[in-house]
Amino acid sequence: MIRWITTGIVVGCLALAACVTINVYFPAAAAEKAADRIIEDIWGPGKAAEPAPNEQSSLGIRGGELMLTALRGTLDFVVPAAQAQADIDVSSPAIRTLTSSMKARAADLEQFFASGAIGLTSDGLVDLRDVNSVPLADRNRARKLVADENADRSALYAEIANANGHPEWESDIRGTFAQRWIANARAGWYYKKGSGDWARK
Amino acid sequence: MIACLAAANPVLAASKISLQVGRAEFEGLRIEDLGFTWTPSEGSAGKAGVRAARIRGIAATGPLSAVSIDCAELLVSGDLLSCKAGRISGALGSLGGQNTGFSARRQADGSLRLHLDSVALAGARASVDLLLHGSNWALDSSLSEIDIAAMATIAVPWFRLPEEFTAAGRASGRLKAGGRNDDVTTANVDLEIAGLDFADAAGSLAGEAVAGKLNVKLVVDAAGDFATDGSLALTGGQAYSDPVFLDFGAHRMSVDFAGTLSSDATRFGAREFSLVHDGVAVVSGSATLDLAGESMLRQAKLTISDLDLASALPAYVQPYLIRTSLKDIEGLGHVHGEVDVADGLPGRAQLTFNQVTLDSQTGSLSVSGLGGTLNWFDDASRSELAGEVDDNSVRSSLSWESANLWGIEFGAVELPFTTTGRHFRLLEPVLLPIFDGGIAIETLQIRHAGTDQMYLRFDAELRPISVALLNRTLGWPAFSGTISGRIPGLQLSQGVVTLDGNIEAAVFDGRIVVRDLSLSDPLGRFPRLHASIDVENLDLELVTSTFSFGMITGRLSGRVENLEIFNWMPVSFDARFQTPAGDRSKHRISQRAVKNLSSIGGGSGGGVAAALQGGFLKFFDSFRYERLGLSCLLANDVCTMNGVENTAAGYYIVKGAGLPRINVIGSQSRVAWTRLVRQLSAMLESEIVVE
Repeated sequence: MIRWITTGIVVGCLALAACVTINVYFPAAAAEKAADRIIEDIWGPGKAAEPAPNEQSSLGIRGGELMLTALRGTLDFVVPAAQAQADIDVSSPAIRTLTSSMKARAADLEQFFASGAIGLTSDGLVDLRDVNSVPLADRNRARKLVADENADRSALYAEIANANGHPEWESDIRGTFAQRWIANARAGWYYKKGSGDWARK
Repeated sequence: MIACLAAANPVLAASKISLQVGRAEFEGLRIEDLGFTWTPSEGSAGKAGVRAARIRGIAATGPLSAVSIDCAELLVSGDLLSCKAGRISGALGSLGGQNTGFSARRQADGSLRLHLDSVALAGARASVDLLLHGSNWALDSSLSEIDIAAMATIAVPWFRLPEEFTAAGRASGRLKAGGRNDDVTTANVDLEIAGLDFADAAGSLAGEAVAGKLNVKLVVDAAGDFATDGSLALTGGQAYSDPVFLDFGAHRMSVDFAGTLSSDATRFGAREFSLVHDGVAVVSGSATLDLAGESMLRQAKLTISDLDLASALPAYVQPYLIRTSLKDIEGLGHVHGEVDVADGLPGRAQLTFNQVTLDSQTGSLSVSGLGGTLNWFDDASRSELAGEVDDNSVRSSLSWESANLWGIEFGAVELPFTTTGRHFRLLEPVLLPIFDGGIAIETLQIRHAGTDQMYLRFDAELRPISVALLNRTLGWPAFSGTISGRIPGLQLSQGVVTLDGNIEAAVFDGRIVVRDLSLSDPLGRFPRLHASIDVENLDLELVTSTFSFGMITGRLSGRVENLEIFNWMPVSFDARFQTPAGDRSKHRISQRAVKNLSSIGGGSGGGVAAALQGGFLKFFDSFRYERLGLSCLLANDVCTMNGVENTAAGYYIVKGAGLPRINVIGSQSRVAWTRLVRQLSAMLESEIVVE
C-alpha cells in the first residue's frame, strides 16, 4: 500500500516538473508611473511645476498609451513570447472615454476637495467627508459627483487591467492608483488612512 | 412663609421703614442680603422696595444677583394690593440682566395680576402678563426678535436639542400658556420665524435662512399628552433632510395638522393633516411622526391629490436614485393616488399616472404619454391580503404612447402586471411595437429589482422589423432586410444582460446570427456589449448597391468573434469576411468597386483610376474574380489586416480570375482604427496589379 502511494507521489512530481508554469507578475513600478500620467492628465500638472497646460486630448491619449506601453514593456521582460505582438499604438477607447469623463468632472470635484467636503479613500475612490461644509443646495450635487467619479474610477481600473489582458490585475491597479491619487493630491486635501481615519495632506 | 430669619436688624425712621435681613430661606429659595424699604405717603399708599444680593434655588435660571424690585406707588387697601410704575432690575441667571417697568395687582379673589413691560429675553424684549391664582397660572407674552440660539440655551431645563445640533435665527410673536404649579396645561404659540439655520453633526438634517409661521394650540388631555391643532407655513430658505433638498423660496410649503403630541414631545400622531407644497405636491391624510428617531415618518395613510412631476422628481425622487442609472431622471405630468407607510417603510401604493413623460439622459431611456394605475404592495401586505381581495385590486396596468431606449422607438402599448416588493410580473403577453414589427413579449419577470440580486427573465419573439428603419434611427447606412426570430431567455443578473440563445437577422438574402450576446451596465453611462456574429452567404450585389460602393456580385460569409463594444464604440474584435468556399455564384467586380477598394486608405487611388481609365482596361465595365476577403483583428486601436491569401507584396483582397485579370493586394498590415473609421470604408493601402 505504502509503496503505491510513494510511487504516486513520485509520478506526480515528475508530472509537475514537466509542466511549464508561467507566472506573470504585476509590474508595480511601471503601473505607478502610468497612474501618475493618467492622474496628471485628469487633475492637471502638480502645483510645483505649473507649466502651461498641455492640449488636453493629446495628453489624455498619451497617458493611456504610456500606461499600456509601460505595462507591456515589463511584461515582455517576464514572458517575452506571450506579448511578442504587442508594440505600437496601444490605447483603448474605453480608457480615453473614462479619462476624459473624469477630467471633465475634475474642476467640480476640486472645489469640494479644497473645502474638505470630499476626500480620497484608501481603495482608490472618493468619499464624502464633511457634508456640513457643503451648501444645502449643493449636497446632492456633491453626492452625485462622488457616485459618478467612483463609477468611472472603478471602470477605469477594470479597463486598464482588461486592456492589458490581465483582468486579475484590477485590484493591484486599484491599489496603485489609491496611492498615487494621494501622492498627487494638492496640499490641504484630505485622504483616508488605512486605519479609516481622515488625514490632511 | 418666612421659615427662618437670621440676624434681623430693623431700623425705624420718621418717614421711611427699612428692614435688613442677612439671609433668608423662603420656599426653597436661599436669599442673601435681603432688605425691604417702605416710605409711606398719604393714606394707605407708599413707596416700597425689595433688594437682594443673591437668590439661589431656582433650577431653571440659576442664581439671581443684585435683584431689586421697586414700587413707586404701592397701594394696600383691604384685600387689594396694587403696584404701579414699578421696576425690576438685576441679573436673573440665564435670563440675563433685567431692567423693566412692571405693575402688579392683587385682587379680592386672591389672584395676582402681574405685568412686565420689557423683559430681556434671548437678546430681545418681551412683554409679559402673568396671572397667578392659587396654584394656577396663565401667561401671555409678546416676543419680538428673539434669538433662537439664545432661547435654546435658556430652554435647556425643559427642552434640550440633540447633541451637536445647532440652531440660530429669530422669532417674533405671541406665546400664551396656562398651567398648574410646574405643569403646562394649555399653550398657544403664534410665532413668525426668520433666518432660521439649523444643522446636525452628520449633515443629514440642516436648514438655512428658513422663514415661516408656526401657529399651534396645545391642550393637555386626560392621558397627559397634548392635543395639538395648528399650522406651519414655510415661506423662505432651504432645508436638507438627507437626501431630500427643499427650497421654500422657490416652492412654499404649508401644513395644517391636528393630532396628539406625546408629553415628552418625541412623538406626534397627526389624526389628520394636509400639506401643500406649492407647485410640487398636495398631500393629506394621517401620520405618526417619530420626532427623535432616524426615520421620521413611522406610520401614515397618505392621499396624494396631486404630484407635479416636473418639480416633484428633482425634489423627492432623484436624490434616491443618485447611485443608479436613472439619477438624472426628469419628468412632466401629474400623479395622484394613495400611499400607506408602516414601520417607516411604504407598505402599499396606488398611483394613477396622467399624461406622464419621463426622460433619463444617462439611462438613454424615455417614456411619453404614460398613463394608468400602479398598484404596489410590499411583500408582507400582499401576503396579508391574500385571499381577502380579488386579483383585480392588486393588478396594475400602465400604458404609454411611445417609449425610447438607446434611440430605438417603441410604440404604444398597455402592460397589465402585478408588482409586490421588488418583484414584477407581466400578466398577459403583449406586443411591443417597434417600427413596422415588434417584440411579442411572452414572459417578463423581475425579481429583487434595484438590488445586487436583481434578476430579470424575458422571453419574446421578434415580429419582423425592417432593418432599413432601424438603421435610419441608429444612423447606419440604409439597407433592406428584416430582423426576426426569438429573443430566447433574455436575463439580467448582476447588472449584465445575457441571452440564452442567438438573435438572427435575414438581410441581403443571407443571414446574420448574433451569438453569446451580453450587455453590462445596460442603462449606465458606459454600456459594454460583448457578442460574436456569424455572417452567412450575403448577396454582395445587394450589399454593394446599398452602400453605393460600386457593384460586386458573388456571395460573402464571415464572422466577427469576441466583439467588444464600449459606450457604443468597438474596442476589439476578430473579424474575417470572405467568398464562401465552393461558392458557385457569378463573381464580378466593377471598375468603381476596384477603384474604391484600392483607393481606400488614401494614396494610390489616383494611380489606380488612371490605370483603369487609360489603355484597354477602360473598355471593361467589370472584371472576374476568383475570391475576395478581408480580415481585421482590432486591439488597442490598431486593426491588423489580412486578405484571402498572402503574396510577396502583401495579401490578396481580391484575387482576380480570367483576363484581363485584376488583383487587389493590400500591403499595409497595421492600420490605426480611428483612421479607418474616419475614412468610412477606407480599409487599407492597396495596389492594383494587372496581369
